[in-house]
Amino acid sequence: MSDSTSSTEDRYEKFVAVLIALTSIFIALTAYLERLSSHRSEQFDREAQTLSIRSTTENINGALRFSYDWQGAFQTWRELDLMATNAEQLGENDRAELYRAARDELQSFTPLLRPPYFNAEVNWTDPYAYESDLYVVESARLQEQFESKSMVSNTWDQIASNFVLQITFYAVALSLFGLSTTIHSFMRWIFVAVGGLIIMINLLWAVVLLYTPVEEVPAEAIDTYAAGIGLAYQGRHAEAVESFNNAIVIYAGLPGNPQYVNAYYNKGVSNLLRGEYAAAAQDFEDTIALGQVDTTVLWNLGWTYYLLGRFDESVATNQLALAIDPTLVGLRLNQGLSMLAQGRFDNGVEEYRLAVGEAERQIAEARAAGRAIPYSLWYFMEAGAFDIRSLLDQAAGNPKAWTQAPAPELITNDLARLESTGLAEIELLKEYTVSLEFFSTAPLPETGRTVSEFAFVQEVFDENGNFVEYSDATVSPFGTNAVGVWMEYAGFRDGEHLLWKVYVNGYEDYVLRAVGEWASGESGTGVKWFSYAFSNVFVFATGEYTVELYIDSQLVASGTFFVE
Amino acid sequence: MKTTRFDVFSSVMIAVVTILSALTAWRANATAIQVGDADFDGTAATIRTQEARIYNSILAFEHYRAFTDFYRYNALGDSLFEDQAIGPLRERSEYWGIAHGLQYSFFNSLYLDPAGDTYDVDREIEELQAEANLTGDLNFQQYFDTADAYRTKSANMNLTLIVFAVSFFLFAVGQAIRNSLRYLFAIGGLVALLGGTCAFLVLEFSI
Repeated sequence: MSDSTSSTEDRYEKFVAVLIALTSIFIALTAYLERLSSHRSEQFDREAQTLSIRSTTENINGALRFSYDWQGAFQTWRELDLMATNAEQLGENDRAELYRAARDELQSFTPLLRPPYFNAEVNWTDPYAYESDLYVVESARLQEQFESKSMVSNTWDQIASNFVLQITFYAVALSLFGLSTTIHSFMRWIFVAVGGLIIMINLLWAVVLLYTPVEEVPAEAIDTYAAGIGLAYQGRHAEAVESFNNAIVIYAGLPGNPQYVNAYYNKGVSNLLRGEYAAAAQDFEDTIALGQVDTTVLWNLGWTYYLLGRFDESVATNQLALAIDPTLVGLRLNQGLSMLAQGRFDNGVEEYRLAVGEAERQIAEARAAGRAIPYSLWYFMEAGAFDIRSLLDQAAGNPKAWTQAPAPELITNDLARLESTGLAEIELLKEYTVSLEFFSTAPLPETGRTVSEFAFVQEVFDENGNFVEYSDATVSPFGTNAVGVWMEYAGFRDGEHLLWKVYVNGYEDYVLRAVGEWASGESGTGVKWFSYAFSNVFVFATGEYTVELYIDSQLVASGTFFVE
Repeated sequence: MKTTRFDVFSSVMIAVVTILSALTAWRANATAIQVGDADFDGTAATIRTQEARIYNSILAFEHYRAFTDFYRYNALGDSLFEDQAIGPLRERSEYWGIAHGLQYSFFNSLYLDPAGDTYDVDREIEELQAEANLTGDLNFQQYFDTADAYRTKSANMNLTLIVFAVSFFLFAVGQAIRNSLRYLFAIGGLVALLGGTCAFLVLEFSI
């Protein structure tokens, strides 16, 4: 090697050494930024954990406090109130006054017995408003803060990971610079150029990372959102929607126009519950578009489409949710309902069969494993029957106050088949509900029992207090405290499982449920009494009462009486 | 090319810088581990605090519920006493007896007002929590403050690494050039080295 060549090489090596030294500054800088990002991620993560713990505590302590307020103080208030009413009914007015005085002293025990929660005009309190003020809003606020901090922590974590990746690329650049000193041709300049390019890209990348917006959800947006949750909890859905809208606007005001997904979702739920179905569908669609695609959102959207009469979209949305989780019995029932409503009867029936089959499977699995069965399973089966009943009432132009179904003109024109199929599915669901609840099996086979149409009666006595006859009680006045169900029956056997269910305005009243064994012989006539006559305090509330009789899980008869 | 004394000096300085950088990186990493430990202790203390709050609430509301029953039986006894005509003595004494029994066994009379009409459940919860603070390690904030201090220390040590890298760069440039400017670079490198070393020592012995 000549002197001049040696000198050139020496200069080149020194040049590379300077490049390496310069790169080491960038590495040190990047390592510093990585450390800062990691620290921020850890700090936000720690705050998120703390908030999550606090939110849980807030919930538990709130529930504890409310448990006392409701079942300690208010229950005692109610007992004294009932004692006062009873005394009054017996003409013991002085004693009634003493009980009332003792009752009123309880106001100091809990805010639940004071305004604004207690309404003296109706002599009742608003537990939802109280719970909302006590802990629901605060818990929602802490939960949102937790989610916000978690989100920020994740973003910082990603930034830190990017810086780590950059350090790796710097190592590659250093390696290229080092390798270039082993080559004595033009190629070495390519190594240097590629190394230099990597460094330039890293520097630009670092600038982008440094300017990445990392914003928490503003406190004002969270407070407004939490207030919305509290209002929704109280059933004040119009005001809740306004709150959620405000939260969305506040959050969107930040740089980068971020979207408040939780607010969109809960706005959808409130809109759905106040009957603004088109708005609800839009909110759920927005929620999904913003990335929250889970079975809950899809379930709600599918149901909203059904109520809007957009059956194809309902079926497609339900299908998406069922693809995520095929074990959702309630969703499968909704799928069947949408198909019935659009006149796809065979498909609808198939979905109902799949739903009850899935319920059967889950119950068998739970029983085999010694696990309890979640009550939601009964609820969904009952709700499935209720929804078909609502659809039939709506299609027949006979909607009830509690009916929730698409507009009649959107439902299939084949009303005859809709009714026959719908009634068969209602019976199937009702019998499955009973048989799964009591026997963990499919309904037992029909054994030829016959029951006359129910007659609702009251006893008529003469002036000596002797029973004279039954009078018709199909429509009874308010104040009625006992109604009998008269029937003629045949084909029954003593010892068979017996269940009476009473639905008040479409929903079962479990207080009136009666379970036992049949003990009235194979055939004859009889009266089953539903009565509050054991006390002088209660009467039947006004409404529609549907009574159903199940023998060995078979729905053998049903009928309806009214209290007006 | 002949190796000069300056070249030797620069090489030695670069080696020193490298060793100090490695030492600093090690200490920065060790500090980062302490951050995790302090955060963990803080979170554990947070859980203990919230556990104490829940436990104390359960206890206090159990007492408050018993007091409510106490009030109910007392009020019923009082009602019968007021309404002598319809208030049989047996019932009355039974109600008052039950109330007295509840007071003995199921709530703390310390929190009863003198008339026996109200029970200060909030005071009971606060006092129980104060007791828990006294006897348990519930001050999570001190751990979080320590963690944050370690974080700052660790980040600053990383900052020191940048100073060492600058020193390394200046020595390398000084070594690469052949005019008198190289002394300026070497002095710069030396200043950065001394500055970085001092910063490292201060940080190392800070907490």
